[in-house]
Amino acid sequence: MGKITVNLDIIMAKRKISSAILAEKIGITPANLSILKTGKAKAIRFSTLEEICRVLECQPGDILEYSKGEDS
Amino acid sequence: MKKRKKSIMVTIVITWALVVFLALLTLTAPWAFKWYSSIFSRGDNVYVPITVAYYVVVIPAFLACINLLKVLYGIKRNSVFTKANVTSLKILTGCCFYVSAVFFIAGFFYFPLFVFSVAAFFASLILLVVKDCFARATEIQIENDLTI
Repeated sequence: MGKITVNLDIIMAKRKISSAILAEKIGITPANLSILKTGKAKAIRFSTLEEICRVLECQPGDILEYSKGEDS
Repeated sequence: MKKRKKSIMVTIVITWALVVFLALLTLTAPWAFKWYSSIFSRGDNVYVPITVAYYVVVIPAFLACINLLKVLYGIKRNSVFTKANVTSLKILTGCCFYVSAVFFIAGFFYFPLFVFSVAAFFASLILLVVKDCFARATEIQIENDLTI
């Protein structure tokens, strides 16, 4: 089964923006942003994705990466 | 909101009353069942199966009450769909099945105990369904909590 990886850390480093500031600009709590960054999130709302792309000036594909799982 | 809090409090009070009743009955069971046997049945031969059956189920009964109170206090704290509550409901179901089995066997010695066995079995089936509902609701809750 495949896996979606959230590469938020990479884009945040490129844009030189901290977690606290990004969370405030997006309108989510730092705790929720941490859940997103660490890959523990089960789902992301389109509204949240839109805000992230707006603040970080990127595309969804820059943040989300799909990788195939190992064949059983 | 107030009605719901009142409803939970009433259920908690009733459950504690049941715990106290069970404690008193545990202390006085031999005399209580002897009195019952002398008044409502043919003779002493039913006092023994009733007393034995009661003492065999009393510990699971207390365990069931404890877990029921755990679930109720959790609901009072707004922690409804949690893994802890699912575990408590699993234990409750197990206790009811156990009580049903014991009364089923005791029913061969004193027929009215079959009624308790059927009632306990019915209760355990309902609890099994409720436990499955809680388990699924807990999954949905976790998924919702982890949706950013």
